[in-house]
Amino acid sequence: MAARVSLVAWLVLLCGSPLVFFTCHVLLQRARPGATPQGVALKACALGVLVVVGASLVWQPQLTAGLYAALVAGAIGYAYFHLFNMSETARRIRILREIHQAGTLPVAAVHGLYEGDELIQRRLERMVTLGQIDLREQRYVLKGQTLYRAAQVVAAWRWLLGFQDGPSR
Amino acid sequence: MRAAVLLVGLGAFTLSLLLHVAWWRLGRPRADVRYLFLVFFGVPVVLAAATLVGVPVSSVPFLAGSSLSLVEAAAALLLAWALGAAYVQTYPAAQAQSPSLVVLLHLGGAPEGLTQDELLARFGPSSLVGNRIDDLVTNAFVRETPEGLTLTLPGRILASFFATYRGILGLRPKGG
Repeated sequence: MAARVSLVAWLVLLCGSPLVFFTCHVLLQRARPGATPQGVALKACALGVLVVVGASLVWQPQLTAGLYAALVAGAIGYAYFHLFNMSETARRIRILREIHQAGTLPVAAVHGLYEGDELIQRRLERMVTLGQIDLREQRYVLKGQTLYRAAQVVAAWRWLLGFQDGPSR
Repeated sequence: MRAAVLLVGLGAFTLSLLLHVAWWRLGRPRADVRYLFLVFFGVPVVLAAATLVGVPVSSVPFLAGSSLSLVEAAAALLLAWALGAAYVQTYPAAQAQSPSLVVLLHLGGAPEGLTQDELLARFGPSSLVGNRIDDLVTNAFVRETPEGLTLTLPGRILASFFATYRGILGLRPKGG
């Protein structure tokens, strides 16, 4: 009975891990307001995984339980990072926000939010900041491989799911 | 904790993933977000419930004859849901063709690099925005009215959630 209660309490702890990620994120972001938001979110997620898995190992010091906690905390941390990233980069979230502020927005006005090359320009600046691309003599070139590899995997997955265009390469 | 919990949790996620790929290849549902939730959060519930009477567990040779307790089934469900949440958050990058990732693929194919104008020429700006509006309408976050686009209740909840969330973090509302 005691073992079962302990297991239930441990699962409740794991279910509450999004709160751990959120708390770590708020503390780090408030402590470093000028830092790159995505970099702060990544650090908060890494810290959150360490906290949750560490607490879990104290509670259930077994190999399978540790592996289980690492999988659950890692997956929730990954999902948390992408939730934050949506608030930072997703076009859909910006469109929702603009309509929310305006009450009603004509379709043309939504298109007007992304006038000219703003949409691509901001992404290029962000990727330069993240060290994934570089601007040399007015030409953008690949610098890092991490996001490029991720782009290749996503393109392959898009093809597997049967999207019409398939991977670009 | 028994290894069976890990196996059932991972198995439930894998089955959801296979079902998702097969379904999308046969014909991607138009309101894909809600069906994605159904596959990754609904299917594991059915499987976890089945393990209570030993259906999937007893089919694994070295676990034959056993079944999961209620708490173990809940633990397996939590694992499947956590992995499902991670996948659901990754899916938009593939579905909506993240412009950042598309830029990287173009640059990967051009070792000499590309100017901003050359990159822009490879995008249709209106489709980058128009497709997102269509998605929001199809998934019932936005409604089209004669005056323009308005938010539905889920859309208002989502917009308010992100505004509050970023406010607590001390960040201005943003989005791409």
